[in-house]
Amino acid sequence: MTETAAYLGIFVVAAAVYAMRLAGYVLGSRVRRNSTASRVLDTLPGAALAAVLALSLLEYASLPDLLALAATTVLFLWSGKTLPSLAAGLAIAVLNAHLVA
Amino acid sequence: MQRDPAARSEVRHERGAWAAFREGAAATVGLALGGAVFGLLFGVLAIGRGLDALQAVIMSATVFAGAAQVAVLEIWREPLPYLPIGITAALVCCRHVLMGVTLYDTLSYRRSRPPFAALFLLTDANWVLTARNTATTHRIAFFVGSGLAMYIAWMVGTLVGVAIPGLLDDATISGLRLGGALFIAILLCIFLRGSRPSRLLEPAIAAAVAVLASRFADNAVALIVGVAAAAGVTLQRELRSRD
Repeated sequence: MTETAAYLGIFVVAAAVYAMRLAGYVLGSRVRRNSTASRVLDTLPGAALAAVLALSLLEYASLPDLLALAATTVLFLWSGKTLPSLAAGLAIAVLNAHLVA
Repeated sequence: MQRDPAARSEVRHERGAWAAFREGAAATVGLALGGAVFGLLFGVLAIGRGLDALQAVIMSATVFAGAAQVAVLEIWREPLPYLPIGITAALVCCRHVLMGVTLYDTLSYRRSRPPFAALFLLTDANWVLTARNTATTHRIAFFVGSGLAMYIAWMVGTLVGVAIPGLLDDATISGLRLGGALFIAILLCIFLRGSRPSRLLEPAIAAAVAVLASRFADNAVALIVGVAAAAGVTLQRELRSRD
């Protein structure tokens, strides 16, 4: 693959992602606050996060991975601290991957 | 000598903005670990897919979207399929459209033109943190501070990832793959924290419908179907509450 082709590919990805970021802002300028449309839109990012998480887990998660996810979630809900919650989940996932390997 | 009240107001505004910027950066420190791990994973995977270190770093610097970058690596081959690459990146990031809509009031504060540079920093993390932080009047500064903290962590992670691909064994890389899901789980907790139980319905429906739809369609399409189903439920509830 030539360098030009690779950099053109990177440009395509960057442009597509930025277009999505800009599109939301432009669309937001046309939605009246406290309208039905705005209340529907307010709930959608949470729905999108939940759907992304569910699809990720469906794709590759094993039982120990679900345990790692549960550990991170419970620890975060209990402590409110992101760093140790994430570290605990990652430690379980990496340990499990080594045990399976 | 008395200063112009407008100038004093402007100085107070700038001090408040700087404080909000620092508050946003500080609030993101924990989540930045997830960003750094994801960046590291991308760096390792990119080298494995044939990108050189400079290309991987430039992609991270100009795209700044972990899920999209990892997704396009799956179809990164000779000759490069530009259209599928662009469509895949856009679909994976389609939730940014929704996030941009909800942040319009924040990002357009005191502005006549779109904040093009700030929009580049839009990620799941700084969107969730900004959406939950209604206390400050300088929310765009909070958003930018949070986004820059994530950007720095992401770039540090990528640089480490492209520098040490041989040092991480396959099992560790496989384990780190879960980092993205753990990161999103925390974001979801932050987003839903303190919500009424009825607000949990839409995310649950979106997840269930997306999983069901993924049996018949690509994950990017399934994601849109799941979110559309959640939108339908909210719309129905809104219309019923009007009657």
